Amino acid sequence: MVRLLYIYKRIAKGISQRPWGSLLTLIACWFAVCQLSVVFYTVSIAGRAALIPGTNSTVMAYLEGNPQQSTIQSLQERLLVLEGVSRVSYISRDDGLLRMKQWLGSENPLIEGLDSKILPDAFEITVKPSYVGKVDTLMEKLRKISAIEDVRCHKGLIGFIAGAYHSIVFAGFFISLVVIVCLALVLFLSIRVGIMTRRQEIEVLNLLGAGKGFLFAPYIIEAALYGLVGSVLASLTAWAATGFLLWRIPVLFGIISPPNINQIIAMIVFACLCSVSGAVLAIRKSIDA
Amino acid sequence: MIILEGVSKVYHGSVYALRDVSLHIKKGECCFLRGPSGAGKTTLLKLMYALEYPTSGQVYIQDRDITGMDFLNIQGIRRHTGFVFQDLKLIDDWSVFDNTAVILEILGKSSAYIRGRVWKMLKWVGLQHKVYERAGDLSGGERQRLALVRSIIHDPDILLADEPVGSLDEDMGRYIMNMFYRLHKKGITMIIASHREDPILDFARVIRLDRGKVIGE
Repeated sequence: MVRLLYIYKRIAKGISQRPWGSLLTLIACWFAVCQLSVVFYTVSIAGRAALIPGTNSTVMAYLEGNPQQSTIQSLQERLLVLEGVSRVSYISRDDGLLRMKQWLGSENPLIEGLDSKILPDAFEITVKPSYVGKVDTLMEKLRKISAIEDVRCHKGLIGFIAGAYHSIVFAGFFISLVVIVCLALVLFLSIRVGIMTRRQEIEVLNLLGAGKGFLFAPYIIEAALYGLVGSVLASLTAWAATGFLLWRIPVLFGIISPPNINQIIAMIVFACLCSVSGAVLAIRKSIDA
Repeated sequence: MIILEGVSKVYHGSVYALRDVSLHIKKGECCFLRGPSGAGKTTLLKLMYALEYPTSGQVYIQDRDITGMDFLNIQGIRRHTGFVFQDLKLIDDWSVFDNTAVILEILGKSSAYIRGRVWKMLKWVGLQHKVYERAGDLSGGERQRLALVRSIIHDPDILLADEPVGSLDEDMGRYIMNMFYRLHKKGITMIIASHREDPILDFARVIRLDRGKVIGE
């Protein structure tokens, strides 16, 4: 077994031989994990936006003419079985007018003198969270139903974000992939430089009968340390940044929150794995050379 | 202990470093490989340490055929064999202590054992006052002694030495040879390659090589 004291001495020696390189590697690790955190928060916010009622998650379907109660009931049952629909609520003309009064104010001159039957009967259709990105497909299907005269879905900024949820997830996945590859590459280069700098040492140890574990354990642990320290710093940064945002923009309460302990652990493990992967690649490359 | 059977080593397809060499070295024996430069002494030692493989023939170390052995087993053989390299192979950036202790670290010995053993061995070769100096700052003789102590600190079964006194003056050469004599007394099997005639010790078996062939004993 390779003794910890030996590994500590070798890592300390390696860092002292190239202090700026080590510092830059650490900064790169910190920066990469920060970027991953930003991606995580963006996807998370988009996911929450998709769940806010009145955006893409709710569609209004206005009915034609004066449908009978039995027609309304059968239509409601028909809508309920459509893909992506989680709930269908009937809103009568009277209820619609009531809502309008609440929205515009009952004293509003626009409402004054209006016929109580002026608005059409309607269905408020709640879309399943997993379907919010495909709300346009659902609206197309609704328009093809003969009893339905018009279909509306109000999209604001949040609606836009919610609508782009799937694109954001895809972009987030892609950016994460690039960041992970970059992180592994930075560690690969850093450890490779470390190995090249200490080639004489490795050659001598190899000649003396050192196993691969003894030869390369210090480099693996050094890489894991970069990942560990970088992700701890990134967690602290994420924690401070969310704290600052919540203090400055209280409306964000419930939308973003500081990373919890599970997220921090996941971040640390993930960063360490990426770093170690880079180091393993560098070692394999050095052995091949 | 060490058996070579019909060993040949060819470089670049046609340059013979060794031609059909057969040797049998018994446990506890001390052998000098003698011959001019290019006789094949270093190649022979490299084959015994599995730094190179023979083009034909077999090399047995402690009854194990090391020809074509895998990395793990080769390292196992090396851990129990000492080698004083011609260019010493010291790690110049490391201290005398670290250079000496490294083989014990590889063998996984405890810190207390390593400290005690290193101190004792450095005292034996007169380097105890240089323990924390960089190996790169030592004189030629001191470096030679350090290389010797590193190769024997773990009590190897076999000690191989390639021109251990080649670059030293006569007095220092005699001093190092005296150390080899003391090691021989301890029962270590030794094979020492040297092109110089002067440090021959009467206890040793002398194998003469020329142009890759054993020409006499």
